[in-house]
Amino acid sequence: MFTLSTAAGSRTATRFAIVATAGALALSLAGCAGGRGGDTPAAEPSSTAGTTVTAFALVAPENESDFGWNQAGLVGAEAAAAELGIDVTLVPDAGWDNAETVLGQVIDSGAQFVVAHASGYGVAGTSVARAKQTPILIQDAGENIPGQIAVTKTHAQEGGYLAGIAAAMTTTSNTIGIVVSADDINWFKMSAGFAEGVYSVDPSIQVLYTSVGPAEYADAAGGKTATEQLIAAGADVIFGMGDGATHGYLQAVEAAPGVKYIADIGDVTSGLNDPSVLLTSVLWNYGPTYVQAIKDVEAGTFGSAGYELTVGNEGLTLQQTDNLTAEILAAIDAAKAGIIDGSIVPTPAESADEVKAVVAAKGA
Amino acid sequence: MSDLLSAAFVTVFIATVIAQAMPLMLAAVGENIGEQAGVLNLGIEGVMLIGAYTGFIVTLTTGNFWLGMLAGAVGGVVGNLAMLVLNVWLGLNQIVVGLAVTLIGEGITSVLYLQNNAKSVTSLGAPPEFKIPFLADIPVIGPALFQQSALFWVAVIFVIAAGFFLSRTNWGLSIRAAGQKPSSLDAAGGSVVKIRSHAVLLSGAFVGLGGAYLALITTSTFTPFITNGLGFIAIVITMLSRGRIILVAITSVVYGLTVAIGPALQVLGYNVSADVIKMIPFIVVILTLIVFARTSVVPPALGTSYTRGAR
Repeated sequence: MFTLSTAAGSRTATRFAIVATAGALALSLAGCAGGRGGDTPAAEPSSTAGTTVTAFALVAPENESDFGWNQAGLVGAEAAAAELGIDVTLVPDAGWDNAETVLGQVIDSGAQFVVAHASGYGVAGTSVARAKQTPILIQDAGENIPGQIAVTKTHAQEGGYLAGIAAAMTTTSNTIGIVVSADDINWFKMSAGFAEGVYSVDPSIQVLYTSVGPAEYADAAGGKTATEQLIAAGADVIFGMGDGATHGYLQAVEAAPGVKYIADIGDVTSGLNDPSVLLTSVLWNYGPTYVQAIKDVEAGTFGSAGYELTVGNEGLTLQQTDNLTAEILAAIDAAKAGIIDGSIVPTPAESADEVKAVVAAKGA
Repeated sequence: MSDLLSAAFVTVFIATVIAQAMPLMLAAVGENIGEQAGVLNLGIEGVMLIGAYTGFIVTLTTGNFWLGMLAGAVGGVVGNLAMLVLNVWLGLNQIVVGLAVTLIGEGITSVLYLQNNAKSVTSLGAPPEFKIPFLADIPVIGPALFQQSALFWVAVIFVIAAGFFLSRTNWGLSIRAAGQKPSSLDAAGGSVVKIRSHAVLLSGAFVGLGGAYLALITTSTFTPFITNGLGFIAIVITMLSRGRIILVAITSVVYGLTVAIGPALQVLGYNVSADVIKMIPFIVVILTLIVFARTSVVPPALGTSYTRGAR
């Protein structure tokens, strides 16, 4: 009995020690977190006021071959550098695992302003901006911090609306397909706006919506499968959103005679054997945003407000192609005016269910 | 949405099932040959990618799908050379070498693609159709099954031939002996190393063909990591099939069905979340593993190196 009670006592002591250690760890972690959270970003002085920016950098997780997000960022940075006559360092294919290091390295190499071109770089960007006292532009989500961080957001639903008008005026089967490769808030917005644009022309048109998966950005095979099934269901215009999965969409569209494709964010022309299948693309033009951000850095106002890509500020435009007839362009211009004056407000859906609700409502 | 369920839709659905099933089937047959000989190839994912990229680049350059498939097979053999030398000849740990081959295959193909092809047209288009008279005219099934590329039929013949040779020939018996009881094969005058070498090289050819089929036929292009875990599913299927090619074929088709059903349900208007769609194939694989775990049989000498006279 003595042995047993000693063993039991020993176990109790061990358990107590473990619980105490875990508690101490939790308290110290909470203390650390509180310390970071308790910082008052707005109170920190802007480190860049009055600076003349002669070099900036853009760090992107992939490269321009995605025909989308990464391409748009890289092209926008080059355009901004050309417009301002300054140097730009482009870092494509930076991946996701080492963003903080890469962002720090480009600053150490002389960049006075950095674009962290991925919503997944938000935390790393904020951390590096604080540590290096260098302004960084992040994407989609986060807090503006004067002198350090500004956030870019996109009114993607507005661009989608215009593309929907083009699709509705092009379809002959009265069936239009939307395919996305991931649960991405920008694509939800764009899909909902697109469906509303279609219904604004003709509510009787059938809009079909399908997703390759929750995060299948680069699943070309899955993209091809989903697009083939949309086409088999009668869709003769496909609106595709999906980085590397776009390769699959394009294969399916090019193999189906008479089907037109609407791309998003970037220009897919270089990925097509037959560019005439491209109806248009909802282009995201980051150039003016980067130019404005750099001017704000120089004026010392960077981070006092975020930036937006909208139809009104030409951040979202439709790519010109021969398939956009004068009649379609006139309808798009009218809708664009409506969006700018606020008489047309496309729904900024934030989930697949909201997109499906918009599709089911048929413009009602 | 029943009006969407047209003959054309069903035809495309069946064709999609086949297109998704064939790369897995070819790769699983290759894995089967290796495992029957006692060589566990965990590098199949990397070897598939090597086969896919070599097939893609040759087809893109020459425009010839047959040459592309041949290059894919050769690429698979080259990819499996590491398994041959390090595992069969030098007797190193098959699991470690296999995982290394997977990582090497993923890395090399991604780097080559990004350096050489990322900024240009990578569309291969569709291979020429091979229409089988009369059968191709059967409604719905005809266009889906009998209006495929001739490469599909060649792949089917290869799968059948592999099943036949494995189960009905002395060569197949030697392969199975090398995996079941290599010492008996040795005592009977056979060379375990030689038989395993043949099996690993042939396995590489099939796995490479699977990768090439995925790039050339199923996707019509190549993207980094295009296999998306297909190689590992092939390993599971191989272990469940107990060396029977017919079971490999059936389970591959079931996999193709699970991949094709997700987008089909969405297009038909069913409210299925993207998460569920992506999970379907893996749920089926896990359920199959649970249900058939007791019946899965692997060769006793699988994963072990053979040294003559060693106890």
